[in-house]
Amino acid sequence: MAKLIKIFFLVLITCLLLILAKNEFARFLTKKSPYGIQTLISKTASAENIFLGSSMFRQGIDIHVLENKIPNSSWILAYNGNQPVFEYIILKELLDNNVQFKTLYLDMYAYSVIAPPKVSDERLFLHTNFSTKLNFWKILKENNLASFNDFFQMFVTSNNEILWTWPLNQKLTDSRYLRGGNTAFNPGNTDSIIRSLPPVIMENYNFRQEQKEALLKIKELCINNRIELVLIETPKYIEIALDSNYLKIMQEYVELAKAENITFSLSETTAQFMQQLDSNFNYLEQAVSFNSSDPESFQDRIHLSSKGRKIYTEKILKFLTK
Amino acid sequence: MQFSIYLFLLFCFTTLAIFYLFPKKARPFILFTSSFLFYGLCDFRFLGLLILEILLTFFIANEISKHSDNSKKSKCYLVLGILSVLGILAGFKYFDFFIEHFSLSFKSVLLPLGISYYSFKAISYLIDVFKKTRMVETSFVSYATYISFFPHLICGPILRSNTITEPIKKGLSYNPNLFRQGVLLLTSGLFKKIVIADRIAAYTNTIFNSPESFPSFALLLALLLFALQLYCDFGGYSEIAVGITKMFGISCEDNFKRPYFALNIRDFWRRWHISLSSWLRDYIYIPLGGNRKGNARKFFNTLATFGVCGIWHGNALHFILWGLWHGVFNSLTPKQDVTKFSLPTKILAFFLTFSIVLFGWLLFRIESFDALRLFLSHLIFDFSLNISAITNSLLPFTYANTCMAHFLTTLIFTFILFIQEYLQEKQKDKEYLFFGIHLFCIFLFCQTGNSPFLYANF
Repeated sequence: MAKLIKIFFLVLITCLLLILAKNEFARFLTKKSPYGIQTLISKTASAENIFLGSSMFRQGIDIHVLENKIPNSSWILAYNGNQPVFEYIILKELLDNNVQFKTLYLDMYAYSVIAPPKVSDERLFLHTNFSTKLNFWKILKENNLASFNDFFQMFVTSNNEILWTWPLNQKLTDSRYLRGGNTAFNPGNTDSIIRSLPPVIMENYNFRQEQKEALLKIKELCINNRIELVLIETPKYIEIALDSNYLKIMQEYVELAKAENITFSLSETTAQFMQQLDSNFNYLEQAVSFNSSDPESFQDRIHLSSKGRKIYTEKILKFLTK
Repeated sequence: MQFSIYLFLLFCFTTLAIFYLFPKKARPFILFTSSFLFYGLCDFRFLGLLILEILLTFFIANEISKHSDNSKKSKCYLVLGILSVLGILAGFKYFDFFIEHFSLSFKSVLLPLGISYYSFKAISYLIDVFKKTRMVETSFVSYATYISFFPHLICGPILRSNTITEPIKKGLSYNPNLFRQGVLLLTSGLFKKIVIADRIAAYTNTIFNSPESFPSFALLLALLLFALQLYCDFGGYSEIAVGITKMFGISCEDNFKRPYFALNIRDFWRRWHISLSSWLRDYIYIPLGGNRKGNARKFFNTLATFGVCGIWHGNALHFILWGLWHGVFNSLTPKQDVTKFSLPTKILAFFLTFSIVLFGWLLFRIESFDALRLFLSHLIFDFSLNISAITNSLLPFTYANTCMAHFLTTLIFTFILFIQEYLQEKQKDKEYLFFGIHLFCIFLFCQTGNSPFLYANF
């Protein structure tokens, strides 16, 4: 038994040391990656325009199109399911580390503002420093969403698979990215396949207060640092684009942007819907036309395919330069 | 309380601490009370049923023992006992099957937790008392503890009564060697369950739920991983249960002995769910005549035994089919000393046996014949292996670009398990080394979700 107890404590201490090291130092492994926060912080790469958001940006913005137009000017910081509360913390870490850029494009993803704070992409714990991780934890705690299970996943088990398969896995992953954008080919689908995929079901469709406050804090941070803020709604498949719950959230989102004087770009369907509600503002002028009924342009209900991404990026570029 | 591994462990460690705080005499009562408390916490609705079955079989076994060997009265009591237990089991477990297949207009019934396990334990006790292979148990606490012993109550193993009642009679004292073995088994079981099985579960569920949406390579991968998941889930739980039993000072046989190292189907059943296969052998196959009444009868007896094995697993035709699949191959396999096979024969025998078992798992996992037909036709006729097929097959691991890391991690853990079992097979077990590796993996790679045990459904 004595030998077992000795081994137990030896393994426990080793694991504790590894966990501590991981939470503070593992981020340095990513400073040369073609994606993530650390590459910008370490100045391995720089950018004038940062696209901060969820997988909508990774799958929705074609980095090759951006690079062809203005080389080395854009960086896509996309984490799955990213929400304004966490986007604010990420932005703060970038600014605290003197990352300089001119424009921040923020993902205007309706479902991220109605969901309670949740870190869906565990790579956020790999790419950030310890104090940022604690800020994530604080947000979860403030919203009573921080269980022991969450703590354990966040600080102990997250990213261990990535770290111990690093030499092989990282090469494979890096090859699929360029300046944070997805370079892998994603085929489109058929209408029947897209409709057969599991639907996006939310518990409720109310804009959450903490997400709204985070958006306002992002705006304030941008003003203080002389950064232009632009909200971008990437196209959704027609089934979602015309969904009344989706449009209801977008309506609130747009009204907030208008009230706070934040520039925004909408999808055509959202703009048309808003125009019907309010004729005093030209929403159609803020719209980027895109065929949301073409299944070939979508991988699923919310993510664009390679074809859709290319078409959309060309259009949004025209819109933004206009 | 939902039956999850973490709550189960919490309950076990609390009971273990209380158990050793009290003197020897009080320990059987602690096991008795904690077992009923555990069942009540898991499923309070059917606690009464468990108590009823214990009282009924305890009383009937006493009546059997009062009459001389093979007397009419004793036989009547035995038949009454077995029919009562089987009646309760069938009523709860197979009622839905009849409603569904004969379109009866009754409400479906819930399945009491662990009923298949404790019913088989009760039947084995009644038969043992009848055959005088054991004395009737005079202590109710001892008998009730045997039937309801909490580490084994939900997912087995199906212990024989002497395993529990004899140590209780002798007194439950701390045995350092048994305790050490228990700790080693517990960590090994946890490694299998929460590091390997739970990691694979999400992937296999995704693929089996809509196989048509994935490349055929994903189907093959999911089938291979399901074989691993089932073993690690059930084998892992069995090791945990046996480990905890040993920590209570009760010696107990392993329920699994490296089943995928089997070199024929008979060999497989000597290694897989040993407590069930030996139960079926002792209480069904041998009483039916075993291999003593000619080849035709032996074939029938084997099929009947494996048919029961299938039915025991659930009230669906695919389980019966799975049982018969194994029954046929068991009957066709001659008696062989697999240890004397040459290396090429061993390799060939391993692949052949594993293929039979793998197809069996497909029958076990897929619930309808239509789904089976679709799965097989997609797997065989649409098979292609290219970068796109591989990428789309690995994606469901996490649905993010971490999928490759998770797949590689699964491969590493499978390799660790293979090495551990290979060394055990060669009698060169490095138990302390693997204890350290298991602990390391549990601390850093455990899946913390609330995943249930697959075999708790049976």
